[in-house]
Amino acid sequence: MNTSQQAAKSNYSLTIQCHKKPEVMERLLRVVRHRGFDLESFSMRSSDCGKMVSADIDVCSERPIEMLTSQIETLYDVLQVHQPMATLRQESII
Amino acid sequence: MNGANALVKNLSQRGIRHVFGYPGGTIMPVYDALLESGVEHLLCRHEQGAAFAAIGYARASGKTGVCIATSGPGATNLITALSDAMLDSIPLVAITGQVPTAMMGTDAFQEIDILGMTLGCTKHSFLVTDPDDICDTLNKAFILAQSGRPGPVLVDLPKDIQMSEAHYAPPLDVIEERAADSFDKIDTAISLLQKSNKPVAYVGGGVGMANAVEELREFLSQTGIPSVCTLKGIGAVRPDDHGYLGMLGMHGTRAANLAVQECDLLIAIGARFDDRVTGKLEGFAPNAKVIHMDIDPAEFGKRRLADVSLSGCLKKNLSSLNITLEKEDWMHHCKTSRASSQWCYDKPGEDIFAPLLLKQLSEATSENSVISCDVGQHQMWVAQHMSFYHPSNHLSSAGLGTMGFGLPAAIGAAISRPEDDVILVSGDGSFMMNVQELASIKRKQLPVKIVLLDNQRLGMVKQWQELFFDQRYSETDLSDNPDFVTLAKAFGIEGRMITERHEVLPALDEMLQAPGAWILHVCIDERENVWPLVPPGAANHEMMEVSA
Repeated sequence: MNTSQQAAKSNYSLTIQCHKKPEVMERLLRVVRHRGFDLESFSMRSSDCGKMVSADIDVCSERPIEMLTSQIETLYDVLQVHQPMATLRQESII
Repeated sequence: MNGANALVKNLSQRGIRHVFGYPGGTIMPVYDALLESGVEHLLCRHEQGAAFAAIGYARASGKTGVCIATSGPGATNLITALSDAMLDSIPLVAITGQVPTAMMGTDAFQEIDILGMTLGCTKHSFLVTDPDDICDTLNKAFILAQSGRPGPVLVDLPKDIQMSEAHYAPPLDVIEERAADSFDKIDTAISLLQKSNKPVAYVGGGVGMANAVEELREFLSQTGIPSVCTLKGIGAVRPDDHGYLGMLGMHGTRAANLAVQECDLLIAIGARFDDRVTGKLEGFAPNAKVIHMDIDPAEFGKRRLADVSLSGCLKKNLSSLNITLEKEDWMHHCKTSRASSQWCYDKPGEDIFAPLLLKQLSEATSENSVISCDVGQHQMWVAQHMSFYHPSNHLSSAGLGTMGFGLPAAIGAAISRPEDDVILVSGDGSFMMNVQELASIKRKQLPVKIVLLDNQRLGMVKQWQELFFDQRYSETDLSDNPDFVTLAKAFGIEGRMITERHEVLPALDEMLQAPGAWILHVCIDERENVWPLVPPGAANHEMMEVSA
């Protein structure tokens, strides 16, 4: 990206359901960082059956959210990716 | 049966005949199980060499490659090759030893968190913590490596798990064949094809990976659409196809790049709009609508928005688009462009001209010969001046651009295709990066032929220093290279050095007639560069050409 340009960042919220594996959150957060998204908040909880986890994340980026969701969906242990709300607001300017 | 024996039995029963690796402390039970297993192991001289040999085996054969290493440094030495397989979508299963489970997390001897380290360079990685899960995990690993967009999968096996009593499960290879994309999307794509006046097929490595070469050729024949290939797509279109314009991108042919820039419809087939292909993205095929066909939906819109994206089975999608089009004017225009921008091999002087040598090498070998190359100027010359009739005959590290790829990849190819000639084309920089694998050639007495193009420079870096860094040549001089013929001889490999053009044809003939491995050390002029070149930040029609 041309750093001389000012790109508008957008905020997004995602809910991601995964198989409960020790490293699954590492996989998820690595993809968030590598694909150019800043993590704003993160929480996770295990399912009652103990076999799944659900993670709620808020991210922001100047990139479209589909660039992240499509990559998260390729992860072997990811079952589902939801985007509960559309982009919240145009936020910061780099 | 213990876990290691269950693992090796599963490998054997799934038809794995060759694996590549290097033993060490935590993988010793697996190596013990390999004895008398029927699975032939090639001991390479570095784990990176073993993994690249497995990649070469996979790329030349279409099968899944298997490599094995111990924990710690053995495992970390795999990482470059895993990354290479990740970026080029090569099916590879890497099996690593790990310290016993009770020792994990204690910074034990040769302990490293290889699962954590490979999160970003594998399609998936498994740590097996129950011996009864070994076979099930291996089954998942093979299915995952081969299915959808292929890639590398790592299985980390603690030593105590290998040594414990384990449940055996037979191989399970259920690769579900995907359907074509929806009727509506295919209909839209056909409509775009019909409305187009200047369509171009942009063919990538996904065609070979999907085993869709025949369907592609039928599609091109039926529609009469001109085609261009990426580095990894080379071989998918026959070089003598009347509409083939060559490789596109940074070092692509003038005809290929101009056709893409002019086209009004670009049909990307198993290709991903990578930056070496597109140049300045905003200037790439600026007037074209796009049909994008790929097995991986994550590629859609990543670099270029498509008007229609077709996922699912590439073979079926291509067959669905087989319609008769009449674009004779456009085809004639492209063919004229191709004819007017032929390579020029008439170079004055007696120095060896590498592009001409590679053309002559290509003419002297059969259509089934496998050419493995390294990374740098020679890699681009191979792509430009040699002819390939199937993608599995052209082994080139495309996405990661890994120097040191060529020699071990040639070894893997020679093992998977003993009936075909295997020729390594390397450069003096790349060759030294995995030169220890000459010992693997010796060990198996593999008849790999080596053409070493030696300009005593890191040629591609030097070319960029010349063009873009004011000729400030920083650390690209390799004039202290070893005597390569003597070096090869130390591994039992015969050969000779040539310096003048008249020596080329007799030397190529001598090399190709030699019964075993042979090295042809070719001294070339360090001033020779790769042309054309699309400079960084430019669009593909803004090519720099060789100056007279």
